[in-house]
Amino acid sequence: MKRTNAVCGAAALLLAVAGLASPARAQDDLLSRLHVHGYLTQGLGTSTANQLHGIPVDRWTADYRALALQLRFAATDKDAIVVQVGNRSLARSALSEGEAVKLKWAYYQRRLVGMDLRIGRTPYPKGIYNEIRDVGTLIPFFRAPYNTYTDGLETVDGVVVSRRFPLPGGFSTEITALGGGSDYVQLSPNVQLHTVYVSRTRFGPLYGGQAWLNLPLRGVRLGAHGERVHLDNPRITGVNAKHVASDVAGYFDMTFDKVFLRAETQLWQPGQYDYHSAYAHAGVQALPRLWLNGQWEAVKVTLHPGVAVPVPSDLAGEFARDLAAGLKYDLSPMISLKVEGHRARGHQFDAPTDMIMLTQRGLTFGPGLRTDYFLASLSAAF
Amino acid sequence: MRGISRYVWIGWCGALGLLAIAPPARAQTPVRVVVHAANPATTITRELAEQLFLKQRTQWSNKMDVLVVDQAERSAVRQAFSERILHRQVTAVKRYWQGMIFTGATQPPVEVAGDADVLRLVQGNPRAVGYVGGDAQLPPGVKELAVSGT
Repeated sequence: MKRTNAVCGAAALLLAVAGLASPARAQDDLLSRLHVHGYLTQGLGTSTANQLHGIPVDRWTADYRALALQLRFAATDKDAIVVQVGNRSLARSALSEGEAVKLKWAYYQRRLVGMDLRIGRTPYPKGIYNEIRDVGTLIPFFRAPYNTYTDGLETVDGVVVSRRFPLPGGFSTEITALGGGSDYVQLSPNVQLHTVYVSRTRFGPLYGGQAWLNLPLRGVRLGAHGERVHLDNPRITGVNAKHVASDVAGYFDMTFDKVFLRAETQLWQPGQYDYHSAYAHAGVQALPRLWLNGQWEAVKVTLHPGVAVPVPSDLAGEFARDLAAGLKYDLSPMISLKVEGHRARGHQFDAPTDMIMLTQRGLTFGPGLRTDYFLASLSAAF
Repeated sequence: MRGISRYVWIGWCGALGLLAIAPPARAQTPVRVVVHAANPATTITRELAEQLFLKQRTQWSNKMDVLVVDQAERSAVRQAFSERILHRQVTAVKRYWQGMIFTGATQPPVEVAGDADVLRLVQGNPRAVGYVGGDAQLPPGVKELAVSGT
């Protein structure tokens, strides 16, 4: 009910702004200021040994998709209201939204003297993929690297300001500052009941920023991100008292017409441990419409000294790793077909198992698992 | 397994390097950048044209907002303009605009069917900038900007 109200409220806001924009204008002029976009990625997946990301073992599921509908009303050349609703279904994952359509974005945007200002629930500018993590036509695999782009932290409820600056020598930079709050979700186990549930936490206030440096070589850019987050949830932080956590990241993006190489590294320090993730993506256009893509992603978790809780003996190595290879065939820039295979291992968990899950304040470990999972997907955008 | 992985990575890197240094083919269709006659500019650099047509810059030097007029995706003049001025294939430009849309940044420019529509829009709007083929007849109220740095 609450979700329905939020969607209706956003639609009413959009219609109200449309009505107030200029009563004298003809209706077709108003309609010309309304832009409708959307995307859909429909997947088909299976896993070999353990359920991961909701993909079941030894059978195929088609209950795997991401879709969104975006309405942008440009009230003037400088002002716009943007609303996006969507749904993400992840088969058996507790994070799956099932059939529910959720309000994803609702913000007011103003462009002034080269600056872009957004107020409301806005996409969270972080890294290469965060704002487009579900747009299948734009990303090389079904989803952005999971251990870097974990669930939640997709939007900011607050203010986001960005500006692009030209620099000497063919360089340019784009700087973004943000402040507000965000929702974080993670899977948590109930060991007694052998169930997995979604634990939601409010991050905030949070404040930070991101900078991209565009090099004179077209398509090559370097980026950095930093933020401070006020937290008071022991499940996330491992610390009972309220405190401030930090997140820093660095990015490399080289995207040419027929080849790309992208990499990110991130250090998240919420409390009693450090979560260090990194990934690299590489792709090459082997035929006019066919891309060969590869992914390497790894996470290392380092517990802070004095944490006297048992952890898996092999945690000293990697917390998680995902190696993937895939083909992406672009029927057009707006329609893509993908097939991909992943070899995942680590202490993530997705379904209750008979094995004991070791839990520690601030971080939850599944047993060390290994699985291969496969996805075929069709993506379209308009 | 480790040895195989090493050769796979070496193969990837080699393929990436070869493609990265391969020069793109350039379309031969002539292209002219056009603006309203009241626009004080007489020339434009390729870099500025690129910034305007990708909405990375949204104002003229006199602080007037820019209205960009693009052409249909499959037209020859669009392909030539994309490769010569934007230094990208049309498909890459379409992906760029998808990125702009789905990051919530902005809308792509209005697309019109051909040179005649571009000229009509530019003729009627002092803020407008567009491009047409080399053989298009410019009507009164429209002028060509000489592009430097192509």
